[in-house]
Amino acid sequence: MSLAFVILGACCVSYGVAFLLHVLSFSEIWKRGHRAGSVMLQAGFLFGTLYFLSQGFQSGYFLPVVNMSAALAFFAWALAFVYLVLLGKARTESFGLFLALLLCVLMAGSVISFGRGRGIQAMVRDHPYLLNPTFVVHVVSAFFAYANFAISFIASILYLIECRELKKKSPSGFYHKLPPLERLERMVCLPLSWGTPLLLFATVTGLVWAKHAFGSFLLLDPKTIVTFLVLGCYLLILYRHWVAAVRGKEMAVLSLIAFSVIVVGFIETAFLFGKHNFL
Amino acid sequence: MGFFVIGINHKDCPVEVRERLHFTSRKLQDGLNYAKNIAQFSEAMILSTCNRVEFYGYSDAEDFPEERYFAMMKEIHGVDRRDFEHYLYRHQGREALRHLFRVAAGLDSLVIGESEILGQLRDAFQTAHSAGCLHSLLYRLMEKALKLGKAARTETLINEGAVSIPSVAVELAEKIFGQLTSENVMVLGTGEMATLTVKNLKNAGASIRYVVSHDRERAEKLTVECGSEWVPFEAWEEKVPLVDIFITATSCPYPIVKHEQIKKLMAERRHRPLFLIDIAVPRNVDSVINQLDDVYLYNIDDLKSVSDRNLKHRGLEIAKAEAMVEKALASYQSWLEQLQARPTVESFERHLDKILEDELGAFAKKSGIPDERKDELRERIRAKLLHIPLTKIKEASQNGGVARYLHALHSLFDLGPKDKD
Repeated sequence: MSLAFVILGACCVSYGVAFLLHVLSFSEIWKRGHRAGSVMLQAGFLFGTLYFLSQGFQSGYFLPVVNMSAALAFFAWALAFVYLVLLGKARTESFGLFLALLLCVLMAGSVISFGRGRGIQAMVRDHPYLLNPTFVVHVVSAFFAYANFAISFIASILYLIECRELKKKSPSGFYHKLPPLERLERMVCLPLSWGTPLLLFATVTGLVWAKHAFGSFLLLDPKTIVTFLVLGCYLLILYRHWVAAVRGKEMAVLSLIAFSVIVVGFIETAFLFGKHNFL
Repeated sequence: MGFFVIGINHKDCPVEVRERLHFTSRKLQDGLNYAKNIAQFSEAMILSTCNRVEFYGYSDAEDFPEERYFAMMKEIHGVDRRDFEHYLYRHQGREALRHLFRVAAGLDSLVIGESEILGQLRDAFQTAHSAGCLHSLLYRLMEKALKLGKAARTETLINEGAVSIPSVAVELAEKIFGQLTSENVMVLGTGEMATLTVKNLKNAGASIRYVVSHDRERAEKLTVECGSEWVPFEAWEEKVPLVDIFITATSCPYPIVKHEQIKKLMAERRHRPLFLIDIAVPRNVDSVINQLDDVYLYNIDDLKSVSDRNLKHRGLEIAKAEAMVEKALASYQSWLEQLQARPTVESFERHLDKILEDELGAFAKKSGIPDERKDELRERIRAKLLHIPLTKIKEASQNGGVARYLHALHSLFDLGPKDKD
């Protein structure tokens, strides 16, 4: 059993324990469970950081997308980074519950697929253009953009649930665990305003790198087309938010729709092959 | 006799009587001085709030010391015992302790679990302590009661959820806007409930911007108190885009705030959430407005149903808090019994030490063993002999059975007269 696998496993277990602690807190078996859960989320994040550092030192490269296991682990790490570092002050019990579950699922996927697919050395040997720094910047910014959109998506769901409960006037137990609407709205809008420029940047760097690596912008590649569509959606949302000052329920609904486009696009491109597909 | 409590509370005693027996800060000092110097209670504390007036004490007398209590009340308030005697409750011993713990946990309050009583109890404790009326027994008891009060509110959900209409309004506002910091409030009407709600919102941090009323003079008191601006009744609509919370409480027999008006105003507000509180009967706000996005409309029935639900929820937590009271009671009683056992145990230890000293001294002289060896032997025998009786006494203190062991020690070892506990 390699050290990388042990670290990855520890990360997955930390997120799993964080989820269980949040469940205990939610079911009021242990009222302060979410605090311990938050600590476990941080522990998981540290294990994730350690995993990528060890991988980087071992191979001499930082390419978190060479196989499915690394890609899932890196997406989980980016999600945890956005939530724990960028949105640190806005952390809430209910959000922690959802996020811990998502992180646990992602990391379980990463652990299960560990060792499958091609290793980093083989990838680099066959595709030397992957070592181009523009590619690394493209990948990192794209992952962080999607992590921001995922956070905004979770916040949108919670916002709409709370909205409905407030209107219904006979709220369920879950309502009492939700943070104020205003805080959820911030968690919907802030990641959108970080994620959209990041995706724009990722798209530009991706195009530059593709031209350099393949001599073409890969404009007709399925993944590129979906990315343009997603980017268009989020730019439209930001326009509505900043220029038309749209907020509240409409922002939550728009964020949900845009993230659905990402998911549909991801599923679709998984079955279509083009040059823009390495995994 | 030991601990006792005598007092009145909101359950049986009408407010007129409670008012007459209430201790102002001046009367509280006089009352404590009287209890200490004239009535000669060993320890005393007075808890006086709008819902209860209670006298806690410790007395060495055999009988319940109510004559001294009535004399004190007569002296301080000039009230004859016949005027309030039939409203009084009296508890002593374990029941008195349980009563204090229940009061501290908020289980005896008008609104179960309310937190104010804990602060009032702390004040009463500090005042009695400053007046020199507390010694080790009541001091330790109060420390325990305050700790329990805090734990009951943090470890159970007994104080969760607002239960009065104004506090429900504040709780909902905080659910929408987060902690109120600068949210603007407009109130339509100046009735009692509207005023109370506005004051609660102000205390929570909201800014009361506009008071809308036909009559400027009637609105003046509220505008001065809240630092807000008077708005003539006809102009309320133009202020809606500037506020976050809008309270309506007029006696108008038909809806004043209509769906079309708010729909148009929400577009002007760019869908910033609006919390509408309609506490008027008949209702002042068209109920269809609640269907608009980002508008949250609560009328008086909605607020009341939230309050009822919270009350019901608190009820479920009572059993948990009661269990905490019983645990604290057992723990305090155990401490008390161990304290009361101390003189007898010390006599027994002295008795044992004397025997060991005499016998081991004689033995050491004969056999010539050094003093260190003799002391070591004495300590080992002493520890072995005392271990079982002391453990049994400690165990018995958990269930109030110490007295028979103390009696047995006295009888079997002829320890001399019992110390007065």
